[in-house]
Amino acid sequence: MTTKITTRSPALTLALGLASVLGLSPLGCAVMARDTPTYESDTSALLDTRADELEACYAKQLGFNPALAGKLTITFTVEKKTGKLTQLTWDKTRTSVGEGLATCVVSALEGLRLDPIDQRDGQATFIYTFRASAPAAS
Amino acid sequence: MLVSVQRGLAMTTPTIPRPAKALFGLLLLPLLIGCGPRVFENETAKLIESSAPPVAVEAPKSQEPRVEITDDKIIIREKVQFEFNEATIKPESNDLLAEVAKVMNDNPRLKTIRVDGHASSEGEDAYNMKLSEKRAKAVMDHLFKQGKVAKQRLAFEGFGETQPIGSNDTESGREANRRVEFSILEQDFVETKKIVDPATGEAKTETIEHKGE
Repeated sequence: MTTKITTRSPALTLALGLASVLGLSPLGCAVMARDTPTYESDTSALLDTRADELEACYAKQLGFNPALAGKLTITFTVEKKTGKLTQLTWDKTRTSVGEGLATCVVSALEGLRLDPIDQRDGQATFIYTFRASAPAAS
Repeated sequence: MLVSVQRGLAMTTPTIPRPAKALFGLLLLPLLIGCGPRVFENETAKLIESSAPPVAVEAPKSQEPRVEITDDKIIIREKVQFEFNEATIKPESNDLLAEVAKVMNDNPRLKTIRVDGHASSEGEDAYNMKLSEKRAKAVMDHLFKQGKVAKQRLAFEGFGETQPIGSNDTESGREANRRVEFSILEQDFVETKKIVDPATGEAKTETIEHKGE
């Protein structure tokens, strides 16, 4: 059995290395690359598109408990491949409103998708404050 | 065995120009460290205010609670609703499941609760079995993820059309048969026995603690 081991020239190695890096870069990180504040702001704007649904959740729960007010902390991951909000859940330890409102909010936020997608996942925490609006001055 | 090593162009140590090395490193950097997740927590809470006066919710027609614990079940007096032919829970069932979760969380003595999925006889047996299993699992996942019920307390099983509670000949019967139930598999409870001595007529109360039965 004969085995041949061929050594490339350094110039060729460098050329191949550069070519592979240049070739791989678009695959790995060439989609939108937000900095953290931009990522947060874009995600926040995405959540705001469901503000009406969240208000409806709150209004419904106020029907059961007119004094209902408090905070709800939600966490989720923005998936880099699709922009979808995944692992969407609420943090019981940092929430003072009831489960009915929390689950309604989480359900209302399901299906959201960040567009354009980002080259990185986003691990997000958002806090909602629920409060009944003051009655209009007469 | 003959091994022949053939060197190519040079035997000397390869030399790569320093600027080229730097460029290579710069290009490689994003691939190595550039794609980690962005982690953020908003500093200002989002405010949701009610813009309308609270909607009056109709008082329950009876005083019976919607979710109740019996000896071996958690009874729900409303149905868990699913999308047609799917294992997706409809949002209108969120409140009900939140109540079920609350009952479970408020009663840690209920050690293991199984979500049972049942189907009507419409369609193939095997399909119904699978669908009822998927629906039971969807409810279990919901209780775990949204209701924060400890996962080790939950189980699920699909029974398909094997345990009807209504006639499959009528739509109302079939509707009743499509359901989710909650069976208590293990619980702590105290059994109280009152024993009367026939000779003396003296009554004695005995309590036995049962753990995880």
